[in-house]
Amino acid sequence: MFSPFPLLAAALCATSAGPADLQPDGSSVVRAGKLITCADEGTQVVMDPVVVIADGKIHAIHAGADVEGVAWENVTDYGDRWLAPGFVDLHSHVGGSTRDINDMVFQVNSELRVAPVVIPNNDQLERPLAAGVTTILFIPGSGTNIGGQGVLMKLGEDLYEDALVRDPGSLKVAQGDNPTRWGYGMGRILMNYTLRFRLQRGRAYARAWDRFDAGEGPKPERDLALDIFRDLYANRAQISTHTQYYQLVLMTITMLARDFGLPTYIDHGSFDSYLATPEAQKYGVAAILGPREIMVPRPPRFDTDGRIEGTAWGFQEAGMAEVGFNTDAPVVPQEELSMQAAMGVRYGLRNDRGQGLRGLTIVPARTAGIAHRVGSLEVGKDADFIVTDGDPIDPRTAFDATWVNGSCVYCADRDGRSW
Amino acid sequence: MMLTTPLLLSVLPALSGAAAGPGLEPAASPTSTAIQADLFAIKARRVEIGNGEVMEHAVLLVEDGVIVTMGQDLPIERGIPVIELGEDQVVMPGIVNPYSRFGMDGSGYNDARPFVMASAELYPSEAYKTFLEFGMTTVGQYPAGQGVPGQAVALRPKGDTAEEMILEDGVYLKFVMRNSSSAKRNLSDGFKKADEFLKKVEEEREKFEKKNSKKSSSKKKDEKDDKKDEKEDEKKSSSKSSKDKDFVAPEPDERVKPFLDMRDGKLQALFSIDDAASYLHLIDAIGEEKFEWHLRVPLTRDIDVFHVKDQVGKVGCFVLMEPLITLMPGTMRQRNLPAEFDRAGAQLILLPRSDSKAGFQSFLEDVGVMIGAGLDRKAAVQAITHRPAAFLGLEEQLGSLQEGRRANLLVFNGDPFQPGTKLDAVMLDGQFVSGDMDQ
Amino acid sequence: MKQLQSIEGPGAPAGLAGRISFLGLASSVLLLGASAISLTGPALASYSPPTPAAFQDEEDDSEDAEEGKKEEEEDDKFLALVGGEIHTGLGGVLRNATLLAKNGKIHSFGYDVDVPEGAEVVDLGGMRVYPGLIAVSSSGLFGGGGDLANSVDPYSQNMTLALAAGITTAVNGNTVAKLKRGHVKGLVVKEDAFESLSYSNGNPQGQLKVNENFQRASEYLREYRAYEEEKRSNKDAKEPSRKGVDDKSVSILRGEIRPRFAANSRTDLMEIAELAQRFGFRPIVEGAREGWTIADHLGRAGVTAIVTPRTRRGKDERQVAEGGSSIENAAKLYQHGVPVVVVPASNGISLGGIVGQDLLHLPIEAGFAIRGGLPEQAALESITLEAARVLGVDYRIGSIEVGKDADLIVTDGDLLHYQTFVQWAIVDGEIVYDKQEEMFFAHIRPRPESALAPEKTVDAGEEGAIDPEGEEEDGDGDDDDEDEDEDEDSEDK
Repeated sequence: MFSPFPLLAAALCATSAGPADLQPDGSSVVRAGKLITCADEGTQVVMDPVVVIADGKIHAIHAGADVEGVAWENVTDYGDRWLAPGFVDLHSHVGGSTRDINDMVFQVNSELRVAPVVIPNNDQLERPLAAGVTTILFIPGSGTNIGGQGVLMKLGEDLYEDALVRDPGSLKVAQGDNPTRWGYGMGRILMNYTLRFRLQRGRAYARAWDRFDAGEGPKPERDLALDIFRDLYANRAQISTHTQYYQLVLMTITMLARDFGLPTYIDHGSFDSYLATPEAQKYGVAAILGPREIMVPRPPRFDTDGRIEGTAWGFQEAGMAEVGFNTDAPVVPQEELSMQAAMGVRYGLRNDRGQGLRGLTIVPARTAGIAHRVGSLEVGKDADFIVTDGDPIDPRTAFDATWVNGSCVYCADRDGRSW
Repeated sequence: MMLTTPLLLSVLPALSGAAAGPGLEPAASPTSTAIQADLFAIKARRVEIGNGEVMEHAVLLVEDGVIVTMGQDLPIERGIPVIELGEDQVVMPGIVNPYSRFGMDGSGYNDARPFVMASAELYPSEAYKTFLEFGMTTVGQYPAGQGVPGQAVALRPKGDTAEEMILEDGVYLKFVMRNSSSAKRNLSDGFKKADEFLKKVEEEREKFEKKNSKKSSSKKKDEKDDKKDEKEDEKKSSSKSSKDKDFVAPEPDERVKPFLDMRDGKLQALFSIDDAASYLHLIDAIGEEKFEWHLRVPLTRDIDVFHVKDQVGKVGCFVLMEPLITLMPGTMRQRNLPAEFDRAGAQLILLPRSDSKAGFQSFLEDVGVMIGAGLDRKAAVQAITHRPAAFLGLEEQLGSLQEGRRANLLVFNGDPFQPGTKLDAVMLDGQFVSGDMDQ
Repeated sequence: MKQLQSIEGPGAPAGLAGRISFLGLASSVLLLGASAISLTGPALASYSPPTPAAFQDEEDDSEDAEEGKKEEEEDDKFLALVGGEIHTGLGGVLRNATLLAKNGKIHSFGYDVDVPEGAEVVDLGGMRVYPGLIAVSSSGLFGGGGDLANSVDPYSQNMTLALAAGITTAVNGNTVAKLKRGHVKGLVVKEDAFESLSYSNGNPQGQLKVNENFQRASEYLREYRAYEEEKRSNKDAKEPSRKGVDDKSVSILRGEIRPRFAANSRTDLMEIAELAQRFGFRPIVEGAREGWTIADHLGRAGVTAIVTPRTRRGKDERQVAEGGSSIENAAKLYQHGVPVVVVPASNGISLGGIVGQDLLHLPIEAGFAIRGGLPEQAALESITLEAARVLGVDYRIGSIEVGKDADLIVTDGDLLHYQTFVQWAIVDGEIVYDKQEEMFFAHIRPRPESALAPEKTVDAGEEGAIDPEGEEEDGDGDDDDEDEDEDEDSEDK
């Protein structure tokens, strides 16, 4: 049905070792028919995989053929099913709290954090978990120029500490139309001014702390509204930008990435945003696309010469090798994250290297700076994976189980099929 | 206007027989029908005939406002005044604009009023000078409104009374065809009413004939019974039968008559459609009905009417549209629909892009743009002269320059379709009515 | 009809295909089976229509009739889809087969189909043929208002896009109509698709009324049957009065029209099932969100369910029994004998940029039913044959069968795969959509050259004005000259 990867049945864990090393104490083993690693390099597909999980991490991945005869213990065997990394969504507003996570207090709210209000493993995440979503960046809405700080959390964990991947997950910046809702008569001029002013202060603040840390300056006064910039300039967090079409994406790239040197990614790439691909590549700005994935010709503003164009297709045509997908949940339901990739492929994204699935896994993980933990199935990474009966981005594919941090947190047989 | 002086020089001596007045001060003799002499000749280097052909070194002999002779390098009799045009000057038939409401200000209705005559609205207003100013020597004016607004009138835009202006009344019946049952009903109901009327007529005729035959039979009886009163009887019956024999059909209702006229070929229909679909609905509404009809297609930015151009082309009707580059829907790709329809076989008629002074002013230049974009030049000339004249049923009178046609002509200082070309003079029925040659 | 044997087309073997097609449907069945092989001559391209000579003996036949028949022959329009993988929609698959449509109907399909001369031939290069999809609910596809036949815009963008999605028939309001691009005539298949009824727990008064109506209608029908019985012996039998009897209810009980209920909750569904069983009719339930919890009841009651597999809604907190939406709804209903028809969440064409939830993605929605366990074949039928059945038009459309309307789609892969695009859509034997000829999707995985489009009559572009081929309609340019020549020849004889 779907086999974009070269069938290299080589084990990722190449070292020959004794039985104890093969399966440490307290570890568990998952077997299946096929495993897609989504790794940036090396093996892409492992046949008859044997995944050894210890302390919630992937201890080893063997191809079945390499470890014949080994007496595994604590085995979960999924037969001919596929294993793939759990999905990462970098744009969601479904925090599970009774109130929206979009407070819109000021025109720029860099001090606001959504972390305190996102409820881990809340009811609204039941279907997404069953749909293979394992990591979400919960961010404030786009009603102000800076909505606040998002939080990266896993699904399937009840405790905040267990669920937390990173706080701050990102600083949410919004440009263009949506923030004009904040105040009457607001336009681009005021928005640009206010945003730049905050960014300048943030940069000065971060530099002051850098000087202090290097013993070259006095200790700056703590400013909660600007603290986030220390994380940003240290690349411990990125700016996720609500920026949808060409002109806005250009503004995002030039203002945030070029002028202020901030780690930034497009988090709402839609319409003709792909026209900015050269600039995005020049300044290392990744593109996470969604919720809107096609552009319908509306000349003269959106002139596609009559084509209904896929945004992902456009980025790829313009030379960006990989793009990510998001849902902007609840705009697109959280559980339909994989549909976003399927639709990206439908509307023209070449999928010969599994670009669709990678756009749900390693691309967003890398973009958010958490690829050392999630986004691919490689030794040392979190054991977050899905069990499917086929191509993970095919809507027809049934998802049988989802594992997070080495535990099966959703099992269709046990819990009933939620999605 | 460097040509004016030599022109006048050549004309004036030639007007030897005439009084000096008429040529110079036409306003002085309001009753006179000719500004120039009743008989004069025009010598032109280049004449657009109107059918797309060009005659070089043409001589037109005009008498009483009508071209009586025309040919290449014809000798001109001594004593006939000659208007000798310059080398660069080009003559073209007067433009026929068959679809306008300029100068009319009435408003219409949305329902079917096929009896409304645009001529009823007509009065000689200053506005008509504008037509002449821009070379439109014949105009068709239609009644305002949606649905079936009524019948158009063909006129010459000059005259002191409406009657003087009217060339022909009831030249076409306008319909607004849309993708709706009500628009389609306007047509089908009209014919249905016509059918009902004819049925009624037929019934009455039958009734009449029955009555008549009864009478004649009873008359025979009378003959047998009483021969004495034969003569008297004969007188009576003959007088009676002459009255009764000719069945007089009742007059059709004013709503029915136009439809009967259409069937009889006395009236043609002009359907205004706004997209390809409305054409298909029109064809559906026409059904089996046979009558002469034509199309008005107001071009809009991304009209999709090209879908039916081949079908329209096969019909070969007149298609009235503006010289306007449109866009392929959903794109910025340009289409030259007038050219496409012309090529598909439709009889293209071009109208000013807007029914206003500005539209008239840029009309020829706009047509030139279409020619530049692929419209056949011959077709373009026809589309503003001969064809609209034929559409109005006036092609025997005007629309082209040849023997027997009205001397409605335009003199340009170059190619009429080139930007910057000036309209030097406008002649209507042998009189200069506008332009530099007026005086 | 033995005279037919004597006909010979000039310079060609007896045109058997021509005869068979002339003989009509009954004989066309022959082409399906192996018997066609023996009948078919080697010269497949030779097609000689019967001539008036065939009717020489039949003096009674007026010339007009002959004339009419001859004309019919001349006007025959054939469309041949060659080298495709035909998915009949009934479970059968024929690889590298040919499908021949004649005058808008499926004339024959299989491995030994004669393609008559003059037929429009499309080489599918292995692509798949499916029956056209049916949307049992739609809005905005026909571009017009309520009076569909008089207001349809058969060039509307939405109609083209719906065809691009594979939809060839859709319900607009309560009218079943075809997406006959370029035509305003002959698109209505059926005027009254359903009889909409409301029967909800939330409206006890309404429920009572519906019950009463059925009760009276049922009594009336019983009386009427008794009357008919009595009439045989007693001429003076009195016909029962229809006063106070609801006509709709009578029609429903007579099976002339099926009632459609919008119902989602378990309670409502249960009550509709009971109502249907009490009075003996087969209800259509639209929504059926909690149908999976009582699928067996619904199956027994003969319910057909129109579902949106991706429906999501938690259950009513006060409800003790299980409830809410389930991805397995369609599958469970199907398992219990409930025919399932799939509609997407939005019944229009949505171009705002968010994709996958509207009619443009009808097969994708059916795909979600597969995710929940519905067999692939049932998923295909949920947007084809089952949809035709629920509308009562399955005698004409919904599957590839000889004699049915040639409403077909050709795809570049598995219809239910997310990547698959419709390459051609055919309605009544006429190609009304060609992906490569339209602007919308031609750039997405362009069709390989090997699969050639039929010849198009395309106007050369204007100089300075682009005349894209994308919107050109296919001219009816198939040359029938040879046929006409033959006719002339035979007339001379």
